[in-house]
Amino acid sequence: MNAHSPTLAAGFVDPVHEAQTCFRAVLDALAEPGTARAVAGITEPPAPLSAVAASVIATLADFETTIWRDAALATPAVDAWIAFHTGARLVEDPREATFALIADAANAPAWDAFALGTDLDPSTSTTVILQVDGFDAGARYHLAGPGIETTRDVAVAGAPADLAARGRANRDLFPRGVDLVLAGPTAIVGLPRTTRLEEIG
Amino acid sequence: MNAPLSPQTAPAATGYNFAYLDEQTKRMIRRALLKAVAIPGHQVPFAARDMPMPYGWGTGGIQVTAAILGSGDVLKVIDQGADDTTNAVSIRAFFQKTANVAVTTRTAEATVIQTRHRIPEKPLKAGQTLVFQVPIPEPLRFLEPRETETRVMHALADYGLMHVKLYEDIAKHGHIAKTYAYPVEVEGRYVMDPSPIPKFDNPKLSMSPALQLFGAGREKRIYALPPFTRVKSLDFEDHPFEPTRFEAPCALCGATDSYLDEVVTDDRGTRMFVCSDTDHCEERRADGHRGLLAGDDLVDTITREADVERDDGAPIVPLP
Ligand SMILES: [Zn+2]
Repeated sequence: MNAHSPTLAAGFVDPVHEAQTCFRAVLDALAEPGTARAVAGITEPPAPLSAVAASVIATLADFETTIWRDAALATPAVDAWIAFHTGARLVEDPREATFALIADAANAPAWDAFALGTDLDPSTSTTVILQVDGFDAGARYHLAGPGIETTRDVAVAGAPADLAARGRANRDLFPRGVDLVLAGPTAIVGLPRTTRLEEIG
Repeated sequence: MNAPLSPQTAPAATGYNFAYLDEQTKRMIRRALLKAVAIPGHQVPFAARDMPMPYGWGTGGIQVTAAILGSGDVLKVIDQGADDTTNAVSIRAFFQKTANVAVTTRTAEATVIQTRHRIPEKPLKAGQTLVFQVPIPEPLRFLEPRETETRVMHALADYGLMHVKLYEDIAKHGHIAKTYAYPVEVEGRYVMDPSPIPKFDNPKLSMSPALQLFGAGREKRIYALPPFTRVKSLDFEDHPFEPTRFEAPCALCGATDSYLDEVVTDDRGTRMFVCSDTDHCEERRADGHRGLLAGDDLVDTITREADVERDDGAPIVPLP
């Protein structure tokens, strides 16, 4: 692997340990919805793919998985980066996606456009990695469900305006449904299908 | 019994993948773990790999631990509550060798605890992960041997047969006969096998601040309980779930609220009841607590059931 290729920005410097650290951040984010978990590792992936989203996808995707990316991310540079660093197959049908990468949150497809899993195996649903602006400002949500002792509040800047309604529709499908990883500038927040989401302004 | 281990590291052996598994296998297991956390209590299939030990040694738990472990973790391994059985010592040594990870016997110091058949007595904290070794992940297996059928029952949340079976127990014995691997309902949806922990430990599963992960190697299933997940032991209004209680305190430390094992203290077969959680018992003794048979010399002579090497995943014989 030539990590210094001018056309393919570098992946993890220390793949084994950086991927482990990033995985634990994703695991903790989904196990404790609404908590921000720092993610570092990959720097300067091709725009508009964010470093945090790139780290998550490099940690989890490989040739056994498929990736759907939105129109904003469907550039030759991003496609080449994904192919080189993950080996995952790109798909145009969101229902075939193991992972979805979304940079243009405002125009994200409805969650039920993705793979929702089956009643027999709801684990075959898409994990949606949604790039957002951060967790210090923006719309505020009241969360409840597994992983949350009572309730937890989280702010998300740059999420789809109808995030709470999307969450309700997704939860109605339980145990089927997508799981969300919100990728901010330096951290992620997990919103698994079990989380109840209420917008509080 | 060995002296308590404090976090310590040894040089990792070269020529191994970190934590033994190759990166592609870890990614596959990690993806299964994320879905398991997102669907609490649902058994997620995964492509289990061969490990350098037989299935009865907890290969499912070992694969889960290998997939999550990082160089900053502090690992504790217990077998029926004890850190010093052949199985626990071997698994701990395996990860010291392949991951150069710090190890401990102290529950409070551990970030990852791999366990067979117990949950530690000391309440777990946020940030800790408990990894269970699971021999049979399917709670409905004893009712329906066909995997295709049990999967449909889970899909439909059709647990009527399970309730009928438990109620038959009550009709026959006056109580539910299961004393270990006692089935639980997770967040009002999936019925889950908690692995062969004594039902004494079942209340600890619910609303735990720790993350609980379950790995079944032979049957290739992973499932999970995120922290603060509601877990209810199956019961009936007129026959509520009752955890096992012990008549007498631990003979060594006097604890009245821990799970006890019957142990042999000498070659004449003298028996007594002592904490199954060796770290808990030692910590209490270090704090000055003493049981009726306070004799410190006894501690080193007892033989535990769990010291007997076994590969069938069988539970200890429960106390009456
Ligand atoms: Zn004791």
